[in-house]
Amino acid sequence: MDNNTIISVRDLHVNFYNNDRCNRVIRGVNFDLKKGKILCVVGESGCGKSVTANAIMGLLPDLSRIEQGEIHFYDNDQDIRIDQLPRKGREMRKIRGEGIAMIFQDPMTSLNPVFTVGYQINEALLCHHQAKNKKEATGKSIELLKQMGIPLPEKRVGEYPHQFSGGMSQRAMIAMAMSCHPKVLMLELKNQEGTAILLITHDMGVVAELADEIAVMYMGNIIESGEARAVMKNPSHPYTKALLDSIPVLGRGKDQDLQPIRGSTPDPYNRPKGCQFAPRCDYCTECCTQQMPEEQIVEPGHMCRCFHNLFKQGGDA
Amino acid sequence: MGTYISRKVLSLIPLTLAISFLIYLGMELMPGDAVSFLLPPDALASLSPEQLEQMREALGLNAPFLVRYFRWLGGILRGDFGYSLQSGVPVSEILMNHLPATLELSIASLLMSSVLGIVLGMISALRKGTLLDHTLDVVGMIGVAIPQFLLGLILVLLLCLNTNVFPVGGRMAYANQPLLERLNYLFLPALVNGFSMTAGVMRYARSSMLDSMGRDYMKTARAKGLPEWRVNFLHGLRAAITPVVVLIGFRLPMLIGGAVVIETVFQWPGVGELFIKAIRAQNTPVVMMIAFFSVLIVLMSSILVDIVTAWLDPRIKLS
Repeated sequence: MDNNTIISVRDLHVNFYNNDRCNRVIRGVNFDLKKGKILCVVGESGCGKSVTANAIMGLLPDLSRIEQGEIHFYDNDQDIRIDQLPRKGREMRKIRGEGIAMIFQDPMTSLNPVFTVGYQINEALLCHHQAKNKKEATGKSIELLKQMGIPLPEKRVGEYPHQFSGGMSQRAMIAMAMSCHPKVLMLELKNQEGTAILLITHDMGVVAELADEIAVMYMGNIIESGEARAVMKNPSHPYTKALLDSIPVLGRGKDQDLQPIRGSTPDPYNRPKGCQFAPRCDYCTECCTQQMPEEQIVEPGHMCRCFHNLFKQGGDA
Repeated sequence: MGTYISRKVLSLIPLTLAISFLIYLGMELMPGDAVSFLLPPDALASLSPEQLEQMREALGLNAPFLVRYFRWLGGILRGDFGYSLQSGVPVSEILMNHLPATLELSIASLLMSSVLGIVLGMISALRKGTLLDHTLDVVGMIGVAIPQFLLGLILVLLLCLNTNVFPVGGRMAYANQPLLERLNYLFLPALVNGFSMTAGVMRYARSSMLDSMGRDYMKTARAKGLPEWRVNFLHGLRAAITPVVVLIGFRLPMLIGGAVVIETVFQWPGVGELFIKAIRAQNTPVVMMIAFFSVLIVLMSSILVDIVTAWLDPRIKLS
């Protein structure tokens, strides 16, 4: 474990319990997030990206449990086990906002409509003792809004979310998230001063542009991860390859041959036995339907969970 | 805001006139008249048609319907609500004698149903799916479904006639009675009157709170590191309260309407009991006064709801 690691997730398993059924949402996820780096987690809806982020924030729904695995948060040389902290306890609340901040997908619904934007930013500042009183907090809120490029911040700070446009709400959310100088910022989709960023998206364009590292998720597993350029250039898992083939690339002209991924994601309550991607995979063989492949290092800093290892075959067998 | 309220108040005038006309018409369409109620049957039989006609003339019952309506309306405009056909006492005096009792009952049940309804609804939402939630759900269902008079009679039977815990009915006068003694009389009527509304408010508060608890901003509030009580009571409840307040506002007049039944069951000497007696006696001036008063309360509370909603929810503008 080198000193630059700030969040380390080891063999994380999360189950959701619903109507007497158990959905094994996260099935052994491993990754490290390093200081000042951007890690992009990509994958289709329902693959477990957000659940992973919520597990780190201690914001999993009530009827869910971290079944096994560890989540380490390294704060000032302290090793904090997030998975063992009570979700609603004091330590976890201190980490939320101050240690790890999160910005959610939809800025328009993420702000409470009945409180002013300033009030909601003040709340974060006062909660983490970044300001002594309301007056000081409001001053800081105005400063934060100004930094986010919101015009007339002195006036805007007293307005309600419905008076903000979508873009302005988004910036207000970023101002709120950055108000307590978090060590890690988690964003669903859509960067900042020395803060590590966990970016959750399915927009490969954003990934190509921003990511230092990429983790590709499918049905609760990270099936490929590594340095961004390595993964983009030599996708080694058929799913990553299919994902890259399914999106248009800017500058390649309008006659691009886009290949949608065939089939659809399996029912989480009725999962395939072996590799989760096997039913949709062009490379599927018998062993794929029998067991889930283990993590393999295909090149230094590049992991893949596939029996076929497209990397060895030059990336496009 | 000011223009909004004055426009609303002005729009009340034609509405009130139309409704008062309809009620007057309703009274007219009832068979019989005040004279036949005022006199005992044997006296009625012994009087000659001329004498009866004389009495009607004296009470002003013989003029055509429209003339009588406008005579009544003119009186209202001059602040004269007329005299009771039964006792000859001015109607406003009768109303003032009965109003305190009704207000006492209404305010007690309104307070109980608002506070208890919101608190129980919140507990139910926060403890969703537990035994407590299911129990409150069943109680709420019963509360909404059971007719008030039935509940009143059951409670009178159980708590008054069989066990003597509470007095059967009536109301202590305001004289030097200790407060506790008076509350003893108030408790059952207020409970019965407030029960169905408590149930309604509770069920509404629960669903509104659950809706609020599922919103993204609750997650944002938690992600900021706010303590759980602040997330639920400030962010959750504050956003959930508006529809509940609207519901309570629209039920304000129902407390007086509902009181008609309750006051009869418990012989509570309020406006409701007075109303029933006056209708039976075809005492038009008294009925008209109470009806007029109720209509005003219905219309005023709808304006009040508008103002309170705009004050609670910054997204709503009065215009």
